[in-house]
Amino acid sequence: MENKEYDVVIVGSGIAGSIVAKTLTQAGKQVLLLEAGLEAGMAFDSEGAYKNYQDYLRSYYMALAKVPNAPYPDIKDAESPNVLDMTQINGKPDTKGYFVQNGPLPFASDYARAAGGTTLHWLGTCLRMLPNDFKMRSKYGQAVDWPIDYEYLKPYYEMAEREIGVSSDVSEQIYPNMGNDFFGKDYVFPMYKIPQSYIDKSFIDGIKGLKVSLNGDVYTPECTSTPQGRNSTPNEKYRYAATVWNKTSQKLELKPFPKESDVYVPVGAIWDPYSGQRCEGNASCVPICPVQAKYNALKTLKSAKKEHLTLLSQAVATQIHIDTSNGNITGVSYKQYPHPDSKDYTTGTAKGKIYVLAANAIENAKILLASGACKTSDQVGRNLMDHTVLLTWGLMKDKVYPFRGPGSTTNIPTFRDGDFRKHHAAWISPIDNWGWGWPTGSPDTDLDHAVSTLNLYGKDLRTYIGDLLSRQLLLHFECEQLPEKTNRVTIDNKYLDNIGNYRPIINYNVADYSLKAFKASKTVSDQIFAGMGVQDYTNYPANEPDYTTYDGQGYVFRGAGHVVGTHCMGTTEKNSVVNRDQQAWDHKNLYLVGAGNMATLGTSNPTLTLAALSFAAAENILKALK
Amino acid sequence: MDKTTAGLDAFLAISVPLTGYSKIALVATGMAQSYLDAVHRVIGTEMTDEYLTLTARILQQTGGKEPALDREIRQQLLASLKYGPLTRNIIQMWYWGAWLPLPPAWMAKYGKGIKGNENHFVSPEAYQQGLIWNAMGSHPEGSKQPGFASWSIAPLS
Repeated sequence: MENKEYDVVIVGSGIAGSIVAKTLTQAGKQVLLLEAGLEAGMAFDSEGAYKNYQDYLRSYYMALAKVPNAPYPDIKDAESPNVLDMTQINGKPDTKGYFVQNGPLPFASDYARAAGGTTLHWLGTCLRMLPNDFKMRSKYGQAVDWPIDYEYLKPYYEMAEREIGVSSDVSEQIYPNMGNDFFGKDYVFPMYKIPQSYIDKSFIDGIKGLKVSLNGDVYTPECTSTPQGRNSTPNEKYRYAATVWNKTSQKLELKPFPKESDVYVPVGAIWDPYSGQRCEGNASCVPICPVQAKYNALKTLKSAKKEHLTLLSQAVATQIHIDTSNGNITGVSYKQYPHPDSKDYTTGTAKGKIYVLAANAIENAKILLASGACKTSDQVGRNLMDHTVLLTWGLMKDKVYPFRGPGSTTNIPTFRDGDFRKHHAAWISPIDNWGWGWPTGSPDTDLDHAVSTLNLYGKDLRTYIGDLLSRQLLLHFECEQLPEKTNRVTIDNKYLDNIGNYRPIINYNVADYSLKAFKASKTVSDQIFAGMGVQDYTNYPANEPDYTTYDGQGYVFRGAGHVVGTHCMGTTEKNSVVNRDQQAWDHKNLYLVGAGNMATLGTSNPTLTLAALSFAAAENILKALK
Repeated sequence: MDKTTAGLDAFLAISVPLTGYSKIALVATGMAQSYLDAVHRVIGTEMTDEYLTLTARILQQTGGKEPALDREIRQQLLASLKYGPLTRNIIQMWYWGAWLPLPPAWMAKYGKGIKGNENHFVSPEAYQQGLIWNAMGSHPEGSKQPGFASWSIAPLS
């Protein structure tokens, strides 16, 4: 392997790396993929894949706090951030977890360093970004415009929706300022929508006719089914079999099914194609779908062309090497550890014509900083973004039976775009199906309260649990965060991991643009709760990690797990790290992929957009390799 | 063997009023022995026997009839500095599958030298057999999945 030069070396087997690996290998290119996570996670034979996944599931069952990374191995040699490590930062850096948190507020999201990446524990929401999300500067005088627009990304969104297997009904997808041709004529998703929950139905009925005031304007909050990367009933009108490279046109294309009678077949579990062909309602999508009805990147990686793909796991990329004469990358150094927690490792250098970093936005930034790469713009590591999530919760009048179904099946898109973005962040409001689990730790915290504080036992306890937990309602207000130069990832020799690799140092804060949206969205929530007769139990304790105040009010926000920015794309080498082709301005044979490229965040969960961008990047790489 | 079986019967007998579930429902979880073992493991045989002797006496003296049973469970078990925390742990173990740490004051007075008192799920099965899910009309998250679209209607039971 040492002596072999591949066409492309990819770092990371998450959705971005896997899409690039699959697309390139199917186009006949030789690819080496480095993955920092454990070898066991890379098993694709039925028995190996099944056993490894059952280990994940067992860890999930035994975990006291069923946080996003709970099922996945905690590896000292390739550590993952954990939301349980996040606490208030009081003056000095918080070094307890993998991140070194400089604050002033802790960055509240995590990711998984394992084969398949963070799609192992993503929720699966697959919303496209809105046209105005790409032109925040010209439209609203905020942040920057992207060097590409919605129209550019549209065909790649279709490829991403096929790859992930998105379930949704186009006719219900109505968003503010979406334009006349958002989905294209006759477009359908691969599968019909995931059925909306019983809670959704009660909520939609309860909110009917309600008007809410915001900044002097009146809005009618609309509810719509949420497109999701989980298996539902195939839509017989869907006609695409695969995304393929057309050598003649030098483009990626969606290839139609050969026969009229062909239909889309949901992609099941990696250990058995017939398992997970429908969502079975496990209600544990985050952190783990037991049947893999929810998409994860292992499905994509498994369908790469094996003869052309070399997988190297337990191999942590540490540095890329630069030919100073022309800026080209000449290799990627990695440390390969034989045991997950030992200090031993061997080193190697992978060589290819083209290099792709797909290791997650924060890890990509770390590798670039460690290599002294992409220095011209001084933007590497900067503009770290996340959706800052304000939660509001209460009790519905009637039983709505949460803790069932996928995490969220309906959202309120009303505030995803509008002139208010000149003044404060837009947001999307998913209606949650899992009770108060996120803000209060339900259901076991309710049980403990009932037994230890309310002194309930027996039939009274059973009745109380049945009443309280079946009426819990939770709303999210996922507020867009703008790119800020000072929200950034850096590295320092003082902070190294078990095998001497850098740990990410994070400086993070939330600007007034988002804080104003907390105030605005809370106003909307208050009106919704009052209008529907929801008993409001929302509270924002001052000792929570991300407690902040605005205009005399305290708020607690949470991370959405949307790690975005750090190597944003832009219009010049002075203002950005990559160009519109996702190629590093400073290094012609280096492509960066993933949510790190996103110049702004919008109100969509970023995975679908980064998947679409990854298809675009793969196309650009194939063009460059010709 | 006799003693263990006797202990199990007594444990199940008091678990019925403590949880609000019938004996057959508790037996059907398959967890009774594991939970009794967890109690044994943490507080030891002597205190377990003492506790089950007391609970058996309560059931016998009250004939399992209300309101006497409620009064005795509250006064002799829940209000007791010694047996209150233990009783609350047993209830929560049935509902959630996890052992909760007995409080520091209890440990200082009654629990010198005992091990395994940290918060933990008794087993993966214990999490999946928690009564709380049934009580709220759901199923354990990540297990006993009710099938496609089941979440879009009210639970059947």
